[in-house]
Amino acid sequence: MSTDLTLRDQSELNLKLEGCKLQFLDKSNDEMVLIDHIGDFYQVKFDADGRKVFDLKVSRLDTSLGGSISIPNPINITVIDEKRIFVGSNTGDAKLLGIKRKGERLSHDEKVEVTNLKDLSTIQENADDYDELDDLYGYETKNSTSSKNNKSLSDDPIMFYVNDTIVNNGPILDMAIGKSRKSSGSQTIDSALEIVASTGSEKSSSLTIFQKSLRPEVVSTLELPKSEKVWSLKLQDSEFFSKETSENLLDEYLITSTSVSSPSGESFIYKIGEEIIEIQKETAFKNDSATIVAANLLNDSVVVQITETELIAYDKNFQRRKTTKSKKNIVSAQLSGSTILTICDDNSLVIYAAETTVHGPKISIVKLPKSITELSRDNVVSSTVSQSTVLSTIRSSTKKNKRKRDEDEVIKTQSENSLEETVVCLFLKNGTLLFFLPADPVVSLVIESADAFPQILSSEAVKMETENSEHQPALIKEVLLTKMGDKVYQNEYLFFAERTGEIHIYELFLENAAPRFVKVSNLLALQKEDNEMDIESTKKIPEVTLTPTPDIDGLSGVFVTGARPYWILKNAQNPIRRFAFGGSYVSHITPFNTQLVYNGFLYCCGDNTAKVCVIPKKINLDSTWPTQKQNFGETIHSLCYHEAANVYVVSTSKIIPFDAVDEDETKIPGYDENMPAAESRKGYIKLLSSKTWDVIDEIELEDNEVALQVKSMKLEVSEQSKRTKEVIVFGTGFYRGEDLATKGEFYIYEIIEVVPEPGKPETNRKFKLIHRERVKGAVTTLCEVAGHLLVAQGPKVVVRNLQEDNSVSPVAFLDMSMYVIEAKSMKNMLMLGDAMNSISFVGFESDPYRMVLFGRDFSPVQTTAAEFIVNDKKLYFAMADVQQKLHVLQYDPDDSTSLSGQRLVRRSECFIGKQVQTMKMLPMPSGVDLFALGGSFDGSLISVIPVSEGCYRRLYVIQQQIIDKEEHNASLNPRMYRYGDTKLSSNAINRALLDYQVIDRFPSLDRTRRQKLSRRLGKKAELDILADLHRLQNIMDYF
Amino acid sequence: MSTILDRVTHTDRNQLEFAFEPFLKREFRFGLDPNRPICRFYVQGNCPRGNECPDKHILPTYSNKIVCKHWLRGLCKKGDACEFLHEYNLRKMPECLFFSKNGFCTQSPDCLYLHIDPMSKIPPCPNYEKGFCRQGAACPKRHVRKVLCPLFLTGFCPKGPTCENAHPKFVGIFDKLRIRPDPKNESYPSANSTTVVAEPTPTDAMPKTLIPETTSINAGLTKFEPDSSATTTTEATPVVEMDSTILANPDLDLDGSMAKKRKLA
Repeated sequence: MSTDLTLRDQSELNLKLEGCKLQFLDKSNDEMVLIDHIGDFYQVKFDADGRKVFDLKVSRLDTSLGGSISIPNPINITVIDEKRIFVGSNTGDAKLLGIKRKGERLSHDEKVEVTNLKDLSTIQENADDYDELDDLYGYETKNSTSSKNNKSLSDDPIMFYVNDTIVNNGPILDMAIGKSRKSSGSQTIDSALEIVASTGSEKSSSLTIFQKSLRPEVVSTLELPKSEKVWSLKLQDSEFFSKETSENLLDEYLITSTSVSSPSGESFIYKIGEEIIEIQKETAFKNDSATIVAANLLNDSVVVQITETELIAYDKNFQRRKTTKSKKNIVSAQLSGSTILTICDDNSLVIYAAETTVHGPKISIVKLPKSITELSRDNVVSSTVSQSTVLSTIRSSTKKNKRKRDEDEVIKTQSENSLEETVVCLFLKNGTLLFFLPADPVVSLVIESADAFPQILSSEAVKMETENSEHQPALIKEVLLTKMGDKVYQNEYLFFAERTGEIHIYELFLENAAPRFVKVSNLLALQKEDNEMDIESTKKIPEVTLTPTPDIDGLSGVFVTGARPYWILKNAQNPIRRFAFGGSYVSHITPFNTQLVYNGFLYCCGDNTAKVCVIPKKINLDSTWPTQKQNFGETIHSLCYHEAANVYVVSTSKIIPFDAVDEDETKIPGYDENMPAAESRKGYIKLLSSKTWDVIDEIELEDNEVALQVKSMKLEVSEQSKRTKEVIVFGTGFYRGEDLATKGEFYIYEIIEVVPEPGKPETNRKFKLIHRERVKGAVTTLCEVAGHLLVAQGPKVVVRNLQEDNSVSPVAFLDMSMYVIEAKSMKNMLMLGDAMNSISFVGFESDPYRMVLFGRDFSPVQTTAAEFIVNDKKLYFAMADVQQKLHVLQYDPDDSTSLSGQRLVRRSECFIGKQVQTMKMLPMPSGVDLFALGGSFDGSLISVIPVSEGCYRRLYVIQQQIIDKEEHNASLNPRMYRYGDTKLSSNAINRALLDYQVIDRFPSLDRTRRQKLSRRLGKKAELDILADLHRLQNIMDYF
Repeated sequence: MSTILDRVTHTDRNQLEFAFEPFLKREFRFGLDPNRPICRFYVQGNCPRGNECPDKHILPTYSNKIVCKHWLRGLCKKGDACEFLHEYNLRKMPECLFFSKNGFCTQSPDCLYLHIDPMSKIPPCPNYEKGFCRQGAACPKRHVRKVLCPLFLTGFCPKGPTCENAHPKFVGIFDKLRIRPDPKNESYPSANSTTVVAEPTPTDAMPKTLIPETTSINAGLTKFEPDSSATTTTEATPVVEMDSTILANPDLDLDGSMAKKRKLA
């Protein structure tokens, strides 16, 4: 091979190409984009004449041309089409970038924002539909048509703009568990703890805060006596306002009510101003009975209050305009558009329609055809009414048939030109689902035996052969048809709530005239543990109810009220997700918009108070747990939480040029000053306030010195009084030339209280040095054991003792084979994870000081993280290695294979597909048992949880059945994925770990399938399995 | 709920028990109570119970308390018969001869041998520890400054000897060192008067006190942190008649079990 290409010196770019990615941008193959490991973008341009390349030009894209976008450590650059590329990153967010030429800039700059949002939905729905994309990018078609223009543009430098981002929480290098902070001014609901993880690197580095529940920011707490339910209402003078203005209207009134079931029903009305004032006297509001529903109707011009016996319409001043008495007692009611749907106490259905006449609002009963009244008489379990497109396809098909008969109506409906209509959906006692249009009841859809929850609900569904002949009574309590999604993507979803609290969610698909509902999710109730539920609260726990929450902060979802409330939300990028709500108990929730609280919501806590909340702006709902990112800008190597001072300490580093010197600080031979220096790092230790995440204090380490691990531990300072002191300990290593011996240092600091800077109350902490000591070999890990400090320095571990006079002296040591990656302690026992030789189990004892090697694992495993698991007086070790495997070992001297304890018994091994870099021990909600939580490179958290024998057997059978009998994504085999590559011996005690990802499919199977699978375990096994899944689901509720 | 929070953040797992712990006790004599009695038989040379023995088996070398410097370098040939300690505990190293002679050591940071502060070799002053030393700065013994335990001062400290603060006993303080109580004609309705009643001392007969009465007992107590440098030998050292006051004060003696508490302290 040879080339005619004249190579040019472009060293002024100072380009470092390790870990960079290159990709051709277009079909002409003369232009490439290059992203280096820092995340900077470069354009590589070939000058070609025919097939001969003359020149190669590399130019950096400067900041004004999209250089401000930085994607460090890119994994891939994928060209989606001529105008878009997708770039994934190991340490930062993945981004979808649009490409522009500089010349296009002026004309299309404003379009960027607009396309931003819509872009994504088009990708998801019409990934290969270019016509629509062209519509979206008007300029694109323009450019391609005027090809002349295009050619001249291609010489201009390219620029990128961000279309969309996928948040990356990885790589989690370390994590700390701290108390959840309360932001100043507004108190957040303090349910408990949070996981703070260090993610990203360099510029994209940040602290990511994981919380299991969505904790809203409480803006204010209102005293609303006897409030079980609450509605916020907005009103305007006349109904002739356009719809858009009404959306921006602020809420003016608040109606609260006792629950319908309470013996003495009462309702209250309040006006929202600076304060919330009760205005019963000035109005004709009916306050002596409980309100079932209150809502705005007819373009927000009237308020309709529905009580047990009456439907009352009020005008803007809350004077009665119209009262309609109901013949039977109403038990539930729904409103949508101008339709009011009521269900009476004999399970029958009455539909009212509201309309405006010259004399004011009018509410009249809608007459239903016989077919529907007969079906629904005394038979309705639950109903829902909404603006929906469910019946649009049926309607258009029936329209064709009807055309001849009813010309007028066709014209009318065509003129409406909107697919959305008020649709009533009824769920009947026999499990039938009935949809119809109240305006045109001929159009209807019947879906039979919906309560079996098949994967697809449609009218054509083949009737399931139910094996047990006697039909189970429907356990469904509520159905709901509503829209979910964000501004980009919205669809209609059908919800079924069971009495057990289980919720089935179906998504609507319209195709070929038959609407279908496809099961997308299945949520088990977030039940409280039985023992936690005190008698007092059981009395007033309302049944779980679904409340649609349209457009709170741009997201429409469904709120599930009850003792353990949660929010079901969906956005364009993610499947349906459930977020537990941080508040303890919610009886009713309503959106709340005032001048002060925009896009907020108000909920009743059941104890005569209501809270006005907003979702904190920073919270990201893209993962299973809500996350918050706090950008940091410097690589974080390690972090810890100091409990007494409520602060975090992080170890960070910056890139500095490497100075190749020897032990005497003289330059090594062959040093060339003109060559660009290699990279080295300089470490810092920073003290962060947990309230504001500001750096309060900082320790600068030497050049090339980086703190590898920082830990907060309670060391015993006095043997006599057993007094402990919480100190910050960190160990460092020096980056030096390979010809020099490694060295390290460890430091012990305490955190003292100082007078804060004026106006910054959080700056009241500082580091104070207790001790520092230079050691041979880098200090790779630190650990506290029985009040003493264990330092892993080079190939040995030394236990040191801190005295009252702040002197530190070594008391015991142990030699290891390579160097220690992980050290964890349990009582006075230690687990030491070696870089090459798996883990050792060691005891440490004082008086006399000694370290005893109890047992070790002899397999050549390169440990990355390890942690203890305690279950039923047995001690297990969960260990992750560089081959992305998880090992479970046990110290069991009674086992014959353990050679009386010398060998750790290998209990299980499986592939997890991610490298776990850090592990933490966490307690089980009940008992003294402990489980392990790991943070991995791809930003996910994994947990290894011990389960009881019975639970294991049940779930194991279900797992096997699901693997064998269900269909899998792309026909991949879950069993081979986990165990294909492991060499577990056939020892009976070796057991496969349960794979929650597989077992989690169980609840979403349809009813008969579930029964079939669980039949092997006994008649009532299904309930046991669901109870097991509940328990697993609630295990980390303290986050 | 708070218990779970505490369990997550606290790493104290000492209440956990494991099934293999008896095995460790048997096999490695690990996890035994460090305060258990010393085995009589083992001291005499042989214990018939061997590793099963619940009592402490102390090697004869252990009593030496000083680490064998040859063993540290891996060169000791005496093994178990060595009269020095074969245990890696740098707190029990022999003293650095060079340092003790010269006050510095040429090997300073790396020297394994103990560098004992010459000050710490001076024995602490027993009088100072009891509460007061008359000689002040002139005392040849060491005055170790400590914080007086406020609980002890007000009558009773539940921590007893494990308390990190000082519990001075104030015994052996001569009467003439005590603050003179108020003359009887000046009627103070304070605790001072009760002192006089409760513990009539010969002070009545003594000349007028040097301390003005306004420096009340409480003011004196808070300052009571005797330090050799601070308490210069001026005309007369202010001495606070503290112990007796408290003991005699019926208001402070809450449940009348003072004698027992003093014993504790």
